[in-house]
Order: sequence, then structure tokens, then C-alpha cells
Amino acid sequence: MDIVQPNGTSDVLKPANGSALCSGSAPALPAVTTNMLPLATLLQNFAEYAFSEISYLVATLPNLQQPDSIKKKKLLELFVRLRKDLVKLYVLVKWSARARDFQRLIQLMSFMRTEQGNLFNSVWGMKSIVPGLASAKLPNPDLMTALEVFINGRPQLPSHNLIRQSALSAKTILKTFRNLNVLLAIKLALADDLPPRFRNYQIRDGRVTFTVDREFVASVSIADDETQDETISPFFLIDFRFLFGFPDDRYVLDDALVTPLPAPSHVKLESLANAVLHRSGLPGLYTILHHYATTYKLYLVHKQLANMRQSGVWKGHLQHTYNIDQSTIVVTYWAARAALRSFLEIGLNRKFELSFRWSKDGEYVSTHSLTEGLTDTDFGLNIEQTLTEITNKHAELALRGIYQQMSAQLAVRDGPALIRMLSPGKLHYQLTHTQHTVVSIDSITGNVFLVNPTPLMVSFVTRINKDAAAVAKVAYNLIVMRLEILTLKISSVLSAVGWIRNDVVKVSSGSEDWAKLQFSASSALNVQFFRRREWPQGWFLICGVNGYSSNLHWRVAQLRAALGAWQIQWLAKINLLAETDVLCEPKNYKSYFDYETLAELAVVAANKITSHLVLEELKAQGCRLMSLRTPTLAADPAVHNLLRADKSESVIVIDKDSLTAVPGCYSTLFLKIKLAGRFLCLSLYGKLRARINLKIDGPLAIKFEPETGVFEIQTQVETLSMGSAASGTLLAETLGKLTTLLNLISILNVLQQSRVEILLTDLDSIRFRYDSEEATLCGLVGAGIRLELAPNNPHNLVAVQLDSILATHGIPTLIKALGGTLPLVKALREISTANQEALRDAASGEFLLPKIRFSLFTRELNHFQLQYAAYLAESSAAVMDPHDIHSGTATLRALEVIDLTVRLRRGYRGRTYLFVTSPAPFLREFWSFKTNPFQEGDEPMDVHPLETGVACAVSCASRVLGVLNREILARGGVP
Amino acid sequence: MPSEEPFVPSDKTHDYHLVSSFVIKPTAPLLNQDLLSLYSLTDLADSVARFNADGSKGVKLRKSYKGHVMDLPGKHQIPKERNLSGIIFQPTKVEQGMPPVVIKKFSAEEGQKTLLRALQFQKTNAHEGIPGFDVAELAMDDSMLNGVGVAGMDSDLKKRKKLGGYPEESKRVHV
Repeated sequence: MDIVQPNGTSDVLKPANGSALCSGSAPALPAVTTNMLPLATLLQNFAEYAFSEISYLVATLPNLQQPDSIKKKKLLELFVRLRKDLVKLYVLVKWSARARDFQRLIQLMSFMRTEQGNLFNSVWGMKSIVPGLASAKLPNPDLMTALEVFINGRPQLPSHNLIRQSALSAKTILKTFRNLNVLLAIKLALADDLPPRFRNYQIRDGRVTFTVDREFVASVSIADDETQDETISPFFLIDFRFLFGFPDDRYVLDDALVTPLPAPSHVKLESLANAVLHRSGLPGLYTILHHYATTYKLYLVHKQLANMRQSGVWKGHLQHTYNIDQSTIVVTYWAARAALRSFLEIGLNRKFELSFRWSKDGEYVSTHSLTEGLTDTDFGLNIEQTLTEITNKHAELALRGIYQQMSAQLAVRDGPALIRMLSPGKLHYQLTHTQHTVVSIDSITGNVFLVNPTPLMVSFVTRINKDAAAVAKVAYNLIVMRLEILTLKISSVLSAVGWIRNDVVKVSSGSEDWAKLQFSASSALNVQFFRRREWPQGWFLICGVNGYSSNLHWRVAQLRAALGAWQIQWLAKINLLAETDVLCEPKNYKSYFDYETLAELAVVAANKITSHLVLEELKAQGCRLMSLRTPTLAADPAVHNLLRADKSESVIVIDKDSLTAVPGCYSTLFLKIKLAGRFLCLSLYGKLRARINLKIDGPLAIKFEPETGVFEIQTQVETLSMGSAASGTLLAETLGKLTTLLNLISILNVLQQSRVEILLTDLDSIRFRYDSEEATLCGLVGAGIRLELAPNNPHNLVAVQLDSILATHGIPTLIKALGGTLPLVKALREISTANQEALRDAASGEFLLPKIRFSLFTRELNHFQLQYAAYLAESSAAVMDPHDIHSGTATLRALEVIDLTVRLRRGYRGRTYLFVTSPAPFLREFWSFKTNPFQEGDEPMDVHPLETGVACAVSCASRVLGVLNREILARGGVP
Repeated sequence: MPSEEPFVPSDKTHDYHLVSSFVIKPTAPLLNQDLLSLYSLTDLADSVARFNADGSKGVKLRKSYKGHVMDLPGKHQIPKERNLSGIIFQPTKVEQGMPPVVIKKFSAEEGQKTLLRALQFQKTNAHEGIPGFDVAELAMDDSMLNGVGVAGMDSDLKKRKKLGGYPEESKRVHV
């Protein structure tokens, strides 16, 4: 069963073959199969569709991450949709029972539509015949004319080549030609007005052919030699062609480039030329043909220019106006440029030949070396070539102008020139020492362009081309471009080696501070400020780049922002070209810069700064500086070696005497300054006058070489604090150490003069030996000097007094006192030690026996009191403190007290004597020297009796006091 | 006119006049015949005629499915915007270069599982229904509902009763 869609139509017109459409005698209708589909297929399609939909849903539904209600909805919606489609299908199936009728109906419709189309076409066909029928109408027969023709043989109507004519015989033709040739030869020979350029002619084939080189070839023949009128020329023009052309429009004829003349022009020219020939003869013909050819050349130039303007490289850069009346063409090249107009005037000169005038930048150029006249070679007339020559010339001249301007402005002290002409069209321009470019001018556009441009250069080129007018301006722009590139390059190299660019700092040009910078006045100057991370605040490296020079100007300065402006507080020039050092080799800096140099610059600049700071501080302290070339100490090899500074160090020579009055070393001091990272290392070198055997080991970082006497004081200061804190911070430590050292040395000097043996020295203390005893002077640095004694030093007895002497009288007195009192204190110590042992033994002895307690009192350094107190112990209590007896708080009962006063005094002849006196009665006999108690053995003693004592030499102190002690103890019952 | 034979100039072509031997045949069938009766289409024409032979008004042509599906139970709202051409005229899978669709029952064991897996839903609250789905879309008859409570159905029934229920007489149906 077939069904038919209601909208099915068909253009197919075919007889139905074998279908059972027609009933009975009805003729077969054309079959229509388009959009016909068997119901079975239709049902199957739908079933497959429905099954696919359901399968798809069943397959995808479980994986759908959505709530059940949505899944259910999807399922239900599918069902509803399918059900609705099924309902439609149901209706369709019901309807299909009558599908056969419909199919027939459709076929009928199709048949009728086709018939309608055919009828319509017939109507149009008939209609199109109508206009043609009018011309098909025959005129009425003109019998009168027919008779006239027939009888009179007229009018002669065109035969339309229907009447054949007999051909001329070759013989006749040749003969005619020969006659004509002879005739022409005679005529020309007789012609006295033949134009000079017509003298080149050839007579052949019955014609004379004039060849005017690069203009035209004209053939003239003669028509009638019978004319009687002498004024009328017998010639007439029979052929003409040009002898020139231009490359775009050529066709090769005899290997020459010629321009074909259009047929209408040819005809017109012939009639015109013949008229002129008729009237003015051959001179007139020459004139008109020459003018025509020249004007035509001009027209060809115009045509070429029009072509060039429309397409190709010249497009947009060329303008031209063709003035036909005046026979001129004005070609403006470099039309897109804003500069003064440059143009070429092409026109005809007095000889009526094509020539041009060149106006360059608004002025006519008369002295150009170009060939006058257009390039009209064997290769044809070529305005493009001429124009190229002109523009090239112009570009060269402009470039040369730029070169002259720039080479005059760019000052190069030494080294290769920054700019030079490579070739007439190329200008070599050195931008930095590694970068160069080639400046050229495009001859087509007139624009300046650079080889291998960077984006920055491109922007400059754009600027140059935008407003390029005068050469000076171009040159200036190029110089500024170089300045910018150089600035950028320096900036990037400096950044790469650790400099930090600071764009905040500005020193307004023209101000007082600007003058301090001492940059040469220049209209192309860039000043940049840099600093380093480790630098103290306010310090800057200033780099001045001058576009007109190859040198860079370096300054290091201390700037301070005040009232919205930056003020220069201090400034120093850095000349990288000639940065030399007395003690170092001269530095060979390149005239330009490189990474190494700019990294070194940090050191150089930092040295300048630190030196400046140090100098400021030295000056503030009233220090005098000395020339580094002072021959005194620098010549000393030891010092020289120490001072051998590298470029990161700088050396200042200081007059020591202006700094500190402490003597002991040469007055030349060397201060070496070195910047190491964040720290400023200061090394102060000097040399001691005296040979001192000093070994310094301590935390103070002072080095000393006893052999040479050279000392070195090292300190470190953190750089960030420099400049910001109060002055005096940099050198305080160094100078403090110097003072300490010099103090120490002066003390040592004193000690050495006092013939004490110095055992050990560091900066804070000196251990020395006098006689057999050792003592130490401490606290040399800081809190004040004090004397420390060894525990077994007899001087411990008078330590307090010694300290006061040290404090009041100083070290020399102390040393003297130590030497002077040593025998006495030794003796006193011996007695004291011996007595204490003896009396302790006695005190632990029997009861009720009198006991003696011994006491030693120090009154002064040279004044002692020995006290012997006898007592009875009431109990066998432990040994009591002798002090208790004296204070009376003890339970002891004193029987008798003997006081022995010991003094050192200056006596007879300035000698020092020991005076031992006692008021005790029982010693009176003793003092009288009835028996010399001090005579022991053979050795005589320098003892002199006094009223209540004895005087003796200090050296005898031990023995005198020993004798006395024994005597007193014996009296007191102590064995 | 249909050119059943190509134009061939005959040998006897006169020098001055065009004499064509071209034969024009009458059309078949002739256009002045009663084509409807000739092709037994009278019944079809009568079934859609505006006026019957007796001059009374003929059947009105309805442009909806309503009259055609009155014999089906339930109420059907069949949209007319979309017709079946998209489905039934589409190329078969084989024509599209894909494996043919084989229709089979879901009752196979594997299929059963698939069905179970795909259609295992929680029961929907009868009063809330499925959000966004109108039950009337199912076009179910009362008898089909068979006591199953479906939200929205009650009001629908009431509305129908109010309107006087289903039309008793079916209109004359044209096919």
C-alpha cells in the first residue's frame, strides 16, 4: 500500500508504465514518486525511532544524577510524546485506506500543472513573435526607380562586392611602383624645403618612408604629378606608426618597442596630416607628426603614471596632473609625506621635445647630473625609471644632508665616528658600542627607515616620518633616538649588575643644584638616578647621557629632599675613563660601558661615598690630611705592602698629631676603607716609634707585628647606618681603639723604663714582674686602671694604698712605690706569717700561761704598726681573733701591749731609711745598743740606734724586724 | 506545446517558407474531459465538497486531530506544530552508515535487569504528583485510571462533569 503526502508535487513528467492507476479507458497519468513512502516503511521507521528513544532513555536514566521525580518526568514526557505521535500515526493509518485515490489526484494535479505551464509558454512565444513581424513586412514595389535603373543605369547602387572585378596584373603593379619610385625620387631631390630630420628616407614600393628616430615612421606617396599648382604639395600620407612605446604596452615589431596607434586615431591623423601636407608640404607634415608623436609620448607618460598610481609599489606615493592644454604633467612623488612638495614637471621644451624640470623640496634643482629628457632608450619610454633615478637622487641628497648635520653635531673625542656613510644610500649609525643601525631613505615613499629596528626605534622612525620636514629635525630626532636607546641600555645593564633605578628623584634643570651637576648644556640629555640596595639613604649614582656625545657622565651625590625639591648636599665626579689610583695600576676603562665596568662602578662610587663620609668625620674632628705621596711612611715596604689596595679600597693618609696627642707612633696614619657587602671595613695602619715586644690577642681586632712595629686596627660599620646617624659613628670605634693602643704603648714605655719585666700584654691588661713578684695592670680599656696582685704577692698588704697611688699619681709612681716598698713588705709578711704560726701553736698550749697575740696594721704605704698583745686565756677556748682583744669585746684580759711602728722615710742624703720605733719601756735598753743585737755573723748591717728605735737601710728590713720580733716574743714567753 | 518529436527540417523545405513536419498530438487525457469521474475521484471530491448535491452544507473541514481520534478513549491534545515527517522520512540507520536498529523485547533477562535498574523509582506522593508534569497529558480515561489516585484528576473530572461530560453524538467524520 502506498500513501501520498498531501504536499507532494512533481516536475517529473513520465508516462506511467504498468501502474494500475487508470480505471477503464482513462489514459495513464504521469507517475509521481517524490515524497511517496510505503506505509510499511513509515511504520517501521516510527517503530525504530520509538524503540531507539526508549532504549536510550532506559540506558541513560540510571546514570542520571538527578532526583527520581525528574527521572520520572523524563520518562513520562517521552511516553507522552510517543503517544501523541502514535495518535497522529493512527490517524494517518486510518486515512491511508484512501491513499490510492489521493495518489491519483496528485498525478492528475501534476499533469494539469504541466499543461498549464505549456500553455503559458505558448502565449509568451506568440507574444515574442509580434515585434519581429513588423520588419517582415515588405515595402511596396518602387516601380519608378526600378525603371530608372533599368533604363538609365542609375542611380549606381553599391554592388556589395557582388560584381566581380578583374585583378590587376603583377606587371602593371610593378610598373606603377617603378614609375612612382622614380617620380618620388625626383620630387624629393628637387624639394628644397625637406626638413632635416626627413633626410633619412627610403623610396620603395611606390612610397617614400621617412624614419625619424624614436619618434615615428611615415610613408608618403604621390598621387598626381600633373598638378599645376606649385603651392600645393603632390604628396599624401599613406602610412604612419610610432617608433616608441613603453614596456607595459608593447608589441614587438622589428625588435623595437612601438606603440600601436588605434585605428580611429590613425584615420583621423591621416586626414589631418594630408590636409597639412596639402597646404604646407613636407615641413608642415614633419611639424605636425613630430608634435603629434611628442604629445603622444606625453600621453603615454600619463598612462604609465596612471598605471603606477593604481597598483604596484608606487601606489599612494605618487600624484600627477596631466594638463592637456599646456602639454605638461606634474608628478609629485613622496606624496604621503608631510614635507615640502617635491615634483617633476614633464613638458615640452622649445624644440618641442619631451623634457623635465625637477623641483626638490619646493626649489627647482638645476644642477642635477641627471640626463635631461626622459629616458627613451631602445627599451622604450620609461617614466618609472626616470622617476626612480630622481627619487634615488633625492633620497641620497637628503641622507647626505642628515649625515652632514649629524656628523657636525656628534662630538666624538676619540674612537670611531658614530656616524658614517656606508654608501650614498646608507648611513651607518652607531647607537651603543654593541648596537648599530643603518639609516636609509626609501626612494619610493621618501620615508626614513632603519635596519633591524627595535620597537623603540620604530616609534622614533614613525615620529620622524610623521613630521619630517627639515634635515635638522630628522637629525635631531635620530640623536634623541640614540639618546633614548643608550639610556635604556645603560639602565638595563645597571639593573643587571645590581643598581636600582630611582625615578622619583628629580633635579630640575636650570636650578642651582643642576649647575652643581656640571653636565654640559645639551638639548638631548638624559639624567638618571640609581642607587644600590646596601647604600645608605640619600646616596645616588647619577648618570648623564648626552645624545651628542659618546661619553657618559657619572656623578655620585648625596641628595636630600627638601620642600618638594631635591638638593645636592655633596657631589663627586666619577671619570670612568681616567679613574686611576696612586697605589694601583691605572684602570683601562673602555670608552663605553659594559657589565664589568658598571659593576665596578658600584665599587668606585661606594668608595667615593665612604671616603667622603670618613673625610667629613675626620674633618669634623679637626684632623689634618696628608698627601698620599708623602714619602715618609708609604715608602716603607712593610707599610706599602699593607696598603696595596685594590680598586674596592681607598686609602686616606692622616696626620696623627691632629687626631690624638698620645705619642708613641709615627705621625702618619693610613686609613684604608673598603666596602664589603653591607659592612664598611676600616683599617687604620700606623707604625710605632719604639720597638715594643707586644703580643696582642684580643677581641679588639688589632694586629701588631713586633718586628716592623706596624699595627693595624680593623673595625666594621654597617653601611645602612651611615649618613643617617649622628656624625662620629664611623670612626669612633677606630679612633677609640687607636687611643687605647697608644695608651697601652705609653704605659708599656713607662714600664720598660722602670725596668720591670713585662710578661704578658693584651690590650686590656699588662702582667709584669718586678724583682721576683708579679702584678697585673688591668682595666686599660674602659673603667679605669687598677692593679691586680698575685695572691702570694707581699704587696697585698698595701693593695688599697697602691690603688690610691695608681689613681692619684699614676703608673710611674706606682712602679717606683712597688720597687721601694718591696723589701719592707716582704719582711713584714715573713714576720706576720712566722708569728701567726708560732702564736697559734702557743695559744693551743697550756692554760694560764700568758699568751701573745700579734697584729699588723697598715697605716700608710710606708707606715705600719706591729702590735704584740700579751694576755692570759681564762679558758681553753679556741683561738680568738686578735682584733677582739684590741676592741675590748673579748673576754681576754690584756696584760701588756707593745706597739712597734715601722716607717719608711727619706733620711740622710736623700736615702730612704726604715724607722722602727716603739715607746715600750722594756725595749729602751734594746734601743741603746749595749749589745748590738743586729750584728749577726760577719755581715755588717746599716743600723743606727735612735732614742726609741732604730733606723736602718730598707734592704735590712727583714733582718732588723726579725731580730726585734724574736726579742719581743721571747719577752712575752713565747719561745 | 509538448514536442514529442524533435524538429527535423524536411527535405522538401522550401527556399522561402518554413514548412514544418512537426506533428502536435492532443493531450491525454483531454483537458475538457471530466477528469474526476474519469479517474474515479468523484467520491473523494464529494467527501470534501462544501455543498452536497442537494444544496445542503457539506462537511466542515477540521484542521485538528480531534475528529479523527474520537474513537480512541481518553482526551487527546495533539499539537499540530510538529508533524511526523522528521521521524518517518529520516534516512534509515543503514543509509546513515550505522548498524540497523533491531527491535527486541525488553523481557530478555539482561533487558529485564536494565529495565529494573532504570525504572526503579520511589513512589511519588499522590497528592503532590511529579513537579512540572501534567497528568492530563497521559490522556487516560476514567476506566483506565481504575481507582488509582492521581493528583489533579479529581478536579479535572469535576470540570468535565460540569461541562456536561463527553459529547454523546460523534460528529460526522470526514476522512
